Amino acid sequence: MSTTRLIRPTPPTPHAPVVAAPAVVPERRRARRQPVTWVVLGLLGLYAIGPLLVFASNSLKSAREIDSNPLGPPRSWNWSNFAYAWEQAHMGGALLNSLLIAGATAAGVAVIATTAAYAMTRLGLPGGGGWILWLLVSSSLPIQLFLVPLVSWWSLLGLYNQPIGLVIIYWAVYSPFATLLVRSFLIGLPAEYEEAARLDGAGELRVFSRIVLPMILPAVLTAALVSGLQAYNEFMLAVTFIQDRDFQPVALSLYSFQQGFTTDWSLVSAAGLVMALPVVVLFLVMQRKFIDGYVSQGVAA
Amino acid sequence: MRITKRALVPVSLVAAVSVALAGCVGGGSSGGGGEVTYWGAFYAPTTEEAFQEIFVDGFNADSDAKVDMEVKELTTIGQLTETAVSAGEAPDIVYSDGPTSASDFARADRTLPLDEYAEEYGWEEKFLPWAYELSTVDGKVSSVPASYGSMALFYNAEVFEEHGWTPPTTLAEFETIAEEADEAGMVPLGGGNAGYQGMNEWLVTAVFNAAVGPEKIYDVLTGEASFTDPEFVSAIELIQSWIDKGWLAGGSESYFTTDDTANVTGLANGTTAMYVSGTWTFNSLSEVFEDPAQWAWAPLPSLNESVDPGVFPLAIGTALSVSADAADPDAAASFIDYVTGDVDRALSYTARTGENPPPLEMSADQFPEDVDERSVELYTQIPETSNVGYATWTFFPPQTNAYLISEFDKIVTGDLTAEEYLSGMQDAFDEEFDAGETLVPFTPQGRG
Amino acid sequence: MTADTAIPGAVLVAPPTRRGAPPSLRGRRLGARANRRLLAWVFVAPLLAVNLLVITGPGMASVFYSFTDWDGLSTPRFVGLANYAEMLGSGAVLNALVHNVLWTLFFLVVPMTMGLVGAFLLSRLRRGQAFFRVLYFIPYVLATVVSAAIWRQILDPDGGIGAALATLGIPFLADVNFLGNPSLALGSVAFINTWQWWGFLLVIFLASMRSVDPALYEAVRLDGAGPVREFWHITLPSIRPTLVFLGLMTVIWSFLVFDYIYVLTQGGPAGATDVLSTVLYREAFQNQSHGYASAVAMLLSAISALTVLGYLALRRRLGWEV
Repeated sequence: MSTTRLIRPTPPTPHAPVVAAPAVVPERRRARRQPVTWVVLGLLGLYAIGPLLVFASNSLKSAREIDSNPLGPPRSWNWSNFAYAWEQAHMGGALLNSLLIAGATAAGVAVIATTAAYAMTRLGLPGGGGWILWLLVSSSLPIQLFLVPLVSWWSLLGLYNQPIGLVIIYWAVYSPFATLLVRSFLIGLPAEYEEAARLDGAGELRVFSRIVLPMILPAVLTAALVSGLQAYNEFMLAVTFIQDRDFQPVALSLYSFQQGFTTDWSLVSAAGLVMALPVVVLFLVMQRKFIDGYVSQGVAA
Repeated sequence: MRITKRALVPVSLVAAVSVALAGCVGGGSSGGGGEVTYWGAFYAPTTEEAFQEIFVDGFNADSDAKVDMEVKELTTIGQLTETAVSAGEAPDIVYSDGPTSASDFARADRTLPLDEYAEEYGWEEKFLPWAYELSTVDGKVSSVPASYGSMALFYNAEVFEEHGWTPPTTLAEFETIAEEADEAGMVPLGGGNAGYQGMNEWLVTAVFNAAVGPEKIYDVLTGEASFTDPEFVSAIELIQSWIDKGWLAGGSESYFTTDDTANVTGLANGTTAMYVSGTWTFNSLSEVFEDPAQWAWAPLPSLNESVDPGVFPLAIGTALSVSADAADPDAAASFIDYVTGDVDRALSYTARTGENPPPLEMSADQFPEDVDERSVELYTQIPETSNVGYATWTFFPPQTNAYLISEFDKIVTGDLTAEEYLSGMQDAFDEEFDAGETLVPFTPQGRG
Repeated sequence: MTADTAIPGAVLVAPPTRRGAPPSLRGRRLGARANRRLLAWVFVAPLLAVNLLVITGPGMASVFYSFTDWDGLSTPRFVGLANYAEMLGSGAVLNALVHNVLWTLFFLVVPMTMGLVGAFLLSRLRRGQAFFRVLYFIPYVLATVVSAAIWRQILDPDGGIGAALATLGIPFLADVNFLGNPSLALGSVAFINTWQWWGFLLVIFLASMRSVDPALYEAVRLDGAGPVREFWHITLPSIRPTLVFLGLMTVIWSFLVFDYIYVLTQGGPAGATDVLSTVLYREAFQNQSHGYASAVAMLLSAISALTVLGYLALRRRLGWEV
C-alpha cells in the first residue's frame, strides 16, 4: 500500500476552478477567439433557462391567470402559493420522506452497482457478456406490469406500505444502469495498481476499498446521484407501495392540486419549485466531487 | 455470452413463486375484529375534513367498530384499488368508480355478496330502483352506490344575458347560439380531452342521450338494436359537423390540448359559451368563477326531434363493496350503510362539500338550506322527470367503453367515419354481451 | 483503452516494489484465485438478489401470463399463442412500434448531439464551466409532471410561444398547435423530453471527456488541427466506451418511453403518440387484458435482447472491450 501513492499536481479546492494543466493553456486563447463557442453555449443556455423562467413565473400566478397569460410575467405576485402548496400537500414531512428514500436508494444502488461491477470486471466472475445481456434486458422490462405480483409478494414479506420496501424496489430498478455505468469506468482503469497492491500482499477487500474505490469514486457518485434523483421524482411505484400518508414521498404532493378534473397549475408549479430546490442545492454542492473528480483522480472512461 | 444453467435455477424458482403468489392471494391482509380500513379520495382538503368528521368520526363514536381511513388522490384511486384487489391487499371497503369495476370484483369473488346486509339495512327501499338494480351481479347485491350524478349544459349567466341568449332546448336553438358565439369570437361549445382521455365519453354520453334518446340506447344495451343504426350514425355526424365548423373546443387540434380546467376557466372568462359536463363540475365552477353566483346549468337540449328536451343521463360516480378478505365484514357493511343509507347525514355532507349525494329516495324539503340551490334543483328534478338516460361509464361494459373513449379521437381527427367508429363499437359490445358481462340497465321510464 | 493511456493529472510516484517472489507464491496464487471467485459471487449477490426478486422473477411470471387470458382478477386460463397472434396482427401495436423506432432515432441523434457538442465546448472553457453545467443539468432534476406542465404552457396554442412570437412580428408559429396536431405531436413530446434529458447526457459526456489525455490534443494541435478535427479525431474515439454505452441505453429506454407521453398526450391525438408502453398500459389497466399486455412486454424485451445481442456481436468483431 504505502509504496503506491497518487499525488495530485493540482489539488482542486472547492471554490476555485480546476487549474489547467500546462498542456491546455493555449485553449484559453483559442476559446476566446471562437465566438461560436459562446454563441452555441449561450443558445443552449437559453433553451435550458427559458422554460425555467416560465416555471418560476407560473408558480407566482393565480390559476386563472395561467390560462390567459401562460408566458408573461405574473401580473400580481402570489407568494402565498408557496405557503398554500406547502401546507395543502403536507410537503414538509413528504420532503423529509423523499430525501430519506432517495438517500437510501442512492447509497444502496452505489453499493450494489459498485460491488457487482467490480466482480464482473476484476474478480473473474464467470458469465461474461451474459451479465450485460441480463442487465440490459432487465432494464427493458416495463415495471408497470409487475405491480400486481410485487404487491402481493411485498405484503407477504412485510415490505408493503414500508418505505424500505419501496427502496428495495428502487435498488432493483436503478441498479442495472448504475452497474453498467460503473463497469464502463472500471474497464478503462488500468489494473497495474491493483496488481501491485496484491503483490504487496494486500487482501482482495483491501485492494477494492483502498485502491480501486477511491479511483472510481466519481463514477460511483454519478451512479448514486442519478438513481437518487430518479427515486426522488418517481411516482407510480411510490403511490402503489406506500399507502400510509405519513410515509408518502414528495412526488405525490404534485398530485394534490387536482380538484376533481381541474388542476391548479400554479400550485403544481409552486410545489414543483419547492421540490426541486433541495436537489439543485445538493447538485451545486456536490458537482465538484463527481465532475472535477474525474480530472483529479483521472479515470479513463 | 452464455447464461449458465446454474443461474437459471434461481430464476425459474423465483418465477414459479411469483406466479403462484399472484394466482392465489389473500389471507395476508391485516386488521383484527372491529377494525375497518377504507380508502377515500376527495375533491379538496375541506371535503376530506367533512368526510372524516361526518362519517368516520361519527361512525367511530356511534359504533363499537373503528374505521381507519387512508386518503388517496381521485385520479389514482381507481387503479390503485384494482392493483390492491388483484394482489389481495384491498382495504376492507373497496372503492369503485362505478358499478362496472364493482361487478368485475364481484365476478372474480374478490368482494362479498351483500344480500344479507341489503335486507338488514333495507337498501332496496332506500335507494332509487335504477341504482339498486345496477348494483346486482348474477342476482346478488354486490355493491352499494355512494354517489350519483348526471350531465348538463353549463354556461355563464352574465354572458348569456349580455347576448340575450336563453338556455337552448332544441337543436335549432343550440345551433343559433353556437353560431352567434362563433361570430362573437367565442368558443361555442367547450370540450377537449387533454390530461384525461375519458373526457371523450362525456360528450358522447350527452350526444347519445340527447340525439339518439334513452329508449334506443336501452335497445342496444339489451341486444335489440345496434350502434350501427342510423340514429347513432347521425348523432356522431352531428359531433363531426361541430368539429368541422370549429365549434367544439375551437377546432379539431385544440380539442386535444384543452383540458377541463381550460373549459371551466373559459366559461368564467367569457371566452367559452357553453360546456357540456357532469355534476362533478359544480365544485370547480364555484371555485373558478370570480362571482360563483354567475355560473348556471340547464338540462341538455334535445338534439333530435324524436327526443324530448331535458334528458338526464344517469351515472353512479362511486360504488362501495366489501372485500372478500375483510376481517370484519359486518362492521364494513355497517359503515357503508352509515355513509350511503341515511338521507339527512348524506345531505349534510353534500351541503358542506357540494359533493354528489347517494341515489336515495329524497325530496326537496330534506335538503339542508346551505346546499347550493343549483345542486338542489338538479337533484330534485331528476327523481321527478321520466326523461332519464344512460351514462356510458355506468351502463356500458368495460371493453366497449374503452373503445368508445380511445377511438373517439379518430372521429375528432377525421381518421374514422361515423359508420366505422360505430361498427367497431358494436363488435366490442357483441363480444361482451355474448359473454354475459353487461349490466342490467333500467327500463326506460317512458315504457313503464 | 490501451494500457499505455496515461492517467491525466495523476502521477505514480514510485513504482510498486516487487519484493522477490516468495517460494510459496504459486500456492498462494491458486488460493487467491479461488478466494477471488468466491468474493466475486459475494460481490454480485446483492444485485442478483434484488434483481431476481423485483424484476427477473415477475418478468418470468409475465412470460407465463403472456400465454393466458389473465384479466388481473380471475384465474388465468391458458390460451396458447393467441395473444401473440393478436399482437402481431394489431394495427395499434404496429403504429406504436413505428413511433418507438422514430423516437429511438430522434434520441440517438438530437439529445446525443446536443450533449456531445455542449460537453465538448464546455470542456474547452476555463471559466464559466460550472455555471453552464448547473444550468444545463437543472431541467433533469425536475419531476416529469412539472416539466410537462411548463411546456404545456409554452406550447399553448392561444397564449404560448407561437402567439408571443406573433406579437413580435414572427407569425409563422402563430396557429401551430404542437401537441394537438397529430403530425406534430410526437416530435413535440420528444422535444420536451429532450429539454429535460440532454443535460444528463452532457454531464456524463463531460465527465468522460475530462479524462482524455491532454497530450493527445497537443499532438494534433501541433499538426495544426482545428477544434472540429480535435473533436472527431481525439474526443470521439477517446470517449467511445461511454458513447456506445449511452447509445445502447438510449435504444433500450426509447422502447420503454412512457412518462412524458402519458402525461402530455396519453398516446393521442388519435394514437399519434402511441408507443408500446402506452399500448401496454391501456391494455393492462383500462381493458383489463393483463395477458395481452404481457405479450406486448415480451415484444419489448425481445427488441432489447436483439439490440444487445447485436451489440455484443459487433463488439466481438471490432475487438472492443466494453
